[in-house]
Amino acid sequence: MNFIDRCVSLLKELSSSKKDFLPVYNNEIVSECITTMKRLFEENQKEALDTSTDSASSQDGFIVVKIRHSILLFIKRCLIAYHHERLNRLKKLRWEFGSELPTEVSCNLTPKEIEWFAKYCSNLSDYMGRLNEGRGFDLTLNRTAPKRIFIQVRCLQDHGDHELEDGTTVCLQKDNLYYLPFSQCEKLIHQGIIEQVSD
Amino acid sequence: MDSSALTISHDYLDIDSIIAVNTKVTTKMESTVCKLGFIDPACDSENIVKNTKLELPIWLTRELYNDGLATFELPKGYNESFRQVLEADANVVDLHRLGPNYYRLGQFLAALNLPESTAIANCLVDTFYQRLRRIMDFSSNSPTSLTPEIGQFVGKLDNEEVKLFEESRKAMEKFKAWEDRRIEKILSNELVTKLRKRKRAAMELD
Repeated sequence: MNFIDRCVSLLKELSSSKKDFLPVYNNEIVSECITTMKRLFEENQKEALDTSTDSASSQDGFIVVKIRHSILLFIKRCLIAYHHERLNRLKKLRWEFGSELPTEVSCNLTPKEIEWFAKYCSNLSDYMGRLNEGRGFDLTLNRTAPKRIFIQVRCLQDHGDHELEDGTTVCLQKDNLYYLPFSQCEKLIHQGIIEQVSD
Repeated sequence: MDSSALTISHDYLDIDSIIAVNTKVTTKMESTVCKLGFIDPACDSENIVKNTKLELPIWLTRELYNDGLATFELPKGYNESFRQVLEADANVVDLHRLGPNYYRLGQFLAALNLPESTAIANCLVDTFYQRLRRIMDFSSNSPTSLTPEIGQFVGKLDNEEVKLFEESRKAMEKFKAWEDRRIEKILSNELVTKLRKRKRAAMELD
C-alpha cells in the first residue's frame, strides 16, 4: 500500500508547514496519484467486464472491485484536500499581503494557482468596488477605529515615492520618521513598509 | 439532494482527519478472498487466505470489516486497559505521542459500530472534559513568551487541543491589549511580520 502512504505524505507535508507559507507544489506525487487512480480504474473496468468467471469467484470479484474503488476514492479525497488547503492559504495571503504577492510565495505556485489567484483578486476588487453605493470600500482597512487624523510613523524599508490623496508625494526612506494622514498609511503598515511610532 | 452527496462526511477535506484514518491497524482476515493480493505488497500470491494478518490503514479495514470479511485490533490507546488509564487520570497521558489526532481517530472508531464503540465514545468525552481545565488554565495564565514548562505541556496535547490552546491564548492576549489600551496602535499583518523575520534569519545565516 505504498502508494496510499505516498499520497498521504502530500498532506503531511502541508500540515507540517502549517505555520509557514505555501510550500512548493508537489507535482511528482500528484501526477503519481493520478496515474495510480487511472490504473485502478482500468483494472476495475477489466474485472467488471470479465464475464467468464463462475459465480463463486464473481462474489470475490465484487469485493475486489469494491476495495479497489474505495482506494481510488481515498486517493481522490487526498488530492482534493491538498488542493483545497492550498487555495485556502492562498486566499488568506491575499488579505495579508494584498494583490502583490512576495516572491517567496509566488515562486512556489503553479501556473493554474497563479491564474486562480488573479481571478480571486479581480473578484474581490469587483466586490469591494461595488460597496458603499458604488463608491467602493476597501474591506482590508479600518479594522480599528481611528483615534486621530495624523499619526507618526517610521519607515522600515526604502519604498520610494508614495502619492497621497491630495496629490503630494512623500519619498519614503528607511529609518526616517513621517507624520502622515492615518487613512493613507494604514495599508502600508499592514504590509510592513512603515510602523506606527507610539507616543 | 442527490443521495450520494449525503455520504460525504463533514471532515472530507480535513487534513488531520485524513491522516488520522490512515493509521495502520493489524487486520485479520476471516475468510479467503481471491485476487485481493494487491492490497498487501509483501504478499506474493494472488489470493489472501483466511487468518492472514495484514497491516492496513483503518479506513480500508472498515470496508472489509463491514462485509464481515475481517476483524482488527484496536489501535494502542483505545483498548480497554488504556481506557482505564485515561479514566483514572487523563492529564498524565501524552496524547500527542498517541495521536497526534487522538480524538479524530476515536470519533472514527466510535462511528464504526464495534462492540466497544460506546465505551470509546464515552472515554473521549471524559478525557476531553478532564483535560480541558488544564488547557484553559495554562492558556489564560501564560506569559507572552513561551516558557519551557508551557512548551512541555503543549507538546503533550492532541492537535485538536493545541488549536484550542492557541485560540484561547490569542483571546487572552487581545483582552490584555484592550486593558492596556494598546489596541489603538495598528500593527503589520501577522504573515508579513513572519516573512520579515524569516528573511532576517536567512540573511544572518549567509
